[in-house]
Parts: sequence; structure tokens; C-alpha cells
Amino acid sequence: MKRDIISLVYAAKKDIQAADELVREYLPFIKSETAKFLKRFPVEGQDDELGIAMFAFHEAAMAYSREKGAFLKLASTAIRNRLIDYQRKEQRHAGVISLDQTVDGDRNSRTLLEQLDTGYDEIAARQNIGNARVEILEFAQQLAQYGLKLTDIADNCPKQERTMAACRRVLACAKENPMLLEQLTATGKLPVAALSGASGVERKTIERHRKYLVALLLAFTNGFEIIRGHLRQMTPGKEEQRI
Amino acid sequence: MKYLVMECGLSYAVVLDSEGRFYKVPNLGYEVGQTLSQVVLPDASSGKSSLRKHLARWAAMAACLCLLLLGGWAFWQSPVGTVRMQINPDVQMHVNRFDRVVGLAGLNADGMTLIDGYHAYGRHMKTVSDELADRAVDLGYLTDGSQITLTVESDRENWKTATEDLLLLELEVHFEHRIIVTPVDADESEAHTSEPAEEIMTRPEDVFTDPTKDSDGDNDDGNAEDDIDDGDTDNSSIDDDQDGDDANDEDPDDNEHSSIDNDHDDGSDENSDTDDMSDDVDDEDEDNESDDED
Repeated sequence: MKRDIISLVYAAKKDIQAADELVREYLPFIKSETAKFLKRFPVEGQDDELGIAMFAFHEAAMAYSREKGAFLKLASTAIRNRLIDYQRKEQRHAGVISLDQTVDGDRNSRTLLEQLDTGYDEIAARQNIGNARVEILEFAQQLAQYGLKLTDIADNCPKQERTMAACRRVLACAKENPMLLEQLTATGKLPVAALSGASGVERKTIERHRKYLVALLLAFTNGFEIIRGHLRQMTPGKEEQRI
Repeated sequence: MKYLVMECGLSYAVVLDSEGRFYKVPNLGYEVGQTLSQVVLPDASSGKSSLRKHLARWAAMAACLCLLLLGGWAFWQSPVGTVRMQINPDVQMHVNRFDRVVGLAGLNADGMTLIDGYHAYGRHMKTVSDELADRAVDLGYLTDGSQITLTVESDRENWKTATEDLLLLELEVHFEHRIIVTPVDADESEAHTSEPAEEIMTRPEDVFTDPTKDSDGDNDDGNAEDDIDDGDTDNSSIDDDQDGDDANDEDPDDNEHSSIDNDHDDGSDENSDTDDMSDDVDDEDEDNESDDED
């Protein structure tokens, strides 16, 4: 049984679908660990803690290696730590009531959100989400042509602000030179030397964040209006220009 | 900050923030294309905190190591008992629980001479006792047939007994039984060392300064006889003749002193002493008179 878990975990590290499958299979364990923390059974779709615990389990599977011992022990610790972190962050909202709770505590009555007139156009919102989904799926498909997945890009995203600023400079340089963007889509390769020369960013930095830069530059080629609109704040700031 | 949901798994979601960062976050019921105003992000200062964690971990490890070293040092350094070797040089070893010497002191002048320039710290007490005995032989304090008195003191009875047996055997084997090693209890050792001091303090008073005892003369005689019988060598202390010269002892003007001095001397002197004894009573009055005059 132990070997089964380990082989499943190692399969999950290679394939994101297998990772989801592993989480699904061990959902009772995750619920049990969450229940231990909450001192009550978590309600699926309502308790954020369950989502946090599932993510912690997923992270544990990604980080697991045989040398670390039993996987479930590691997963249990990871879940508990994540839930503690989440609880600490949420303490600042301790005095805030949820819009999802009902007015009189009766399950069948209307929630606060339903009773409030926020001016929120749900139909338009659903339509926008649908349009965005189509565009994002197209974006993901194009990324797949480069052998990339969105999860890879999330992992390859710069963590430090200085590196992030360097990547923004590369993007700004590519936007100023559409030839570089065309070169990317035509050859399927990131023009590292040209970007480095034009932006002044070290080649090593570009190489290290190649996946992220491919995704970013691809988003600024034609056809991804919603994503570009979302990234409109992404302009080199004063600090970046100084660098 | 707004976040665009780019991909959703069962447990995770990939979101893109409006500054171009991709994050993998817990999927709290999101769907692709949804724009969120808040997600559960990994700790923003994860880099710093991990550095802090590393620093804290190293600091804690260093502190633990220091504590361990200090504790180990204290554990090593604290003596569990003492071993006193009395040859003529009197030396005392402080021994830790690993039977290693952590302190060595000379308790008399010869003891100081014996340990002068000798490095005993951290060495096994067996080795130190052997080497000290060897040094005593080299310096002429110890010859064949001499005696070494061992006094082991400790709160631990087991350790005390074991150490006594160990050193006794070690020294006897080392000198191939040419030297007598005698273990002594601490109380006995103290009594033994304090005995001569008592004599030093009492005898001169008995002999010279107590006029009541001197007047009847019996005490003085008795003492002299006892001294002869016991063969006590300490009577030199009550001798006016500090240089111990036998020639002076035979001085006819000092019969009283010569009778006591004979304790040091061989049988021939004792014979002369017995001859003098008959004159003691007669001489005492003269002696007292001369004392009074003094």
C-alpha cells in the first residue's frame, strides 16, 4: 500500500492530471485532517479550509521525495501548517460577517448577498467569464505548442521584485520591437540574444525565466485582448526605469 | 490587485495578477476566466522569511552546540572524587567521572616538587599515579619496600571502592610488589596526619611548662619510659637540642634532655638513658631550679 502511495505521488509530480487524481483519491484523508484542525467536519464548497488543505496536500505531493519518509505524515504536517497560516491571515477578518450567510440563520432563507442590491450584473459577468475562458484556453493551447503548461509558468515566475523588473523591461523592449514578437511566434523560440541586447537585461536572467517570458510575450501578440487588458497595469515603474 | 484565473485543477488554480505574475493558489471554487480581487497567496515575504528561518535555524543550532559544549565541558570538568597519594610527597588528584585527572595539587613542599613540570590534565588516573610514583622514585622519595598511602574520597561509594581497588592493583603491578600500597579511609588519613601535631602541641607543655607535673617528677619519668617503650620518634620536637647532635645529648649537664633524646637513638643510647633514669629524680630539682632561673 505504501509503495502504491509513493508511486502515485511520483506520478503526480510528473503529470498534473495524476496530481488531481491523487487529491481526489485521498480526499477523505484531507477532510479528516481538516476536521482535526477545525474540530468539526468541513463542508465541501463552503469551508475555505478544505480548499487550503487540498492545496497543501497537492504541494506536499509536488515536494515529496522518498528520503523525507512517509508521505502521509508529510502531507498531514503540510496541511496543518497551511491551515495555521490561513487562520492567522484570516484573524484580521474575524469581526466580519460573510455575505453567504443567511439572514436569520435558516438554511432555506436568502443569503445576505442575494438581499443586497450591489448593482452587480451577473448575466454580463457570466458572459465576460465565458469570453475570458475561451481566450485563456486558446492561450493555454498556444503555450502547449511551446511545450509549456500554465503550472510550469507559475513555478517559473520570478519571485524577487528586481528580477520581475528585469522581465518587465524585456517585455517593454519586445513591445517596442514587434519584430521580436513575430520572431517568437514564427520560430517558436525566444530570441534571447536580441532581447538581451535590446533591453540590456543579462542573458542569464532571460534564460533562467525563459518559460515565463515566453508566456508573457505570447500574451502580447495578437488575439489575447482580455489578457492584455488585465495586464494593463504592467508598465515599467519608476524603479524599473531607474534600473 | 486583480487576479485572472487561468487554470483550475481540483486543488489548485493558476492565476495571473494585473502586474504579470503567475501564481499557483488553492482553488476555493474558482473557474477559468473569473476575475478575483483576493486569493490565498503564498507568503509574500517567503524569501525573506525563509532566510530568516535559515538564520534562526543556524542560530538555534549554534546555541544548542554551545550549550552542548558548555554542558559537556562542565560534565567533564566536574570531579567525582579525589585520590590522595602520600609517599612522602603528598599529592592530590581530582578525578572526573571518566577517571581522567582534571586537577593535581601538591599538599606539601615535596608534593609540589613532585608535580612541578608534570602535566596530568585529561590523563587517566592510573597513568598519572604510575608516573607520579616513578617520579617519586627518580627524585629519591620512594625506594623498594617503601609505602604509598592511598586515600580515595568520593560521595559515590561504588566509585570509591572501585578506584581504590584499581589503583592498588595498578601500583602494585607497576612496581612488581616491591612497594607497599595501603588504601586508607579519609577519616583515618586525617587522624593519621593530625596525630603528630597533637604531640607537638601537648608534649612541650607536659614536660616543660606544667610545674605541677614537673614537681612530682613521676609524670616526667613516666613519659620518658613510655617514649622508650613506644619507640616514638617524634620526641625530637621537645628536644632543646634542635640540631639533634648525639654528642650534645650526652652532655652531663643536660641529663633530662638526653633521656628524651635517646628515643631517636639506638640501643646503646637507651642503655645510657636507663643509667640516667636513676638520676632523674635527683636531677629534676636541679632542672626545675635551672628552669625557674631561665
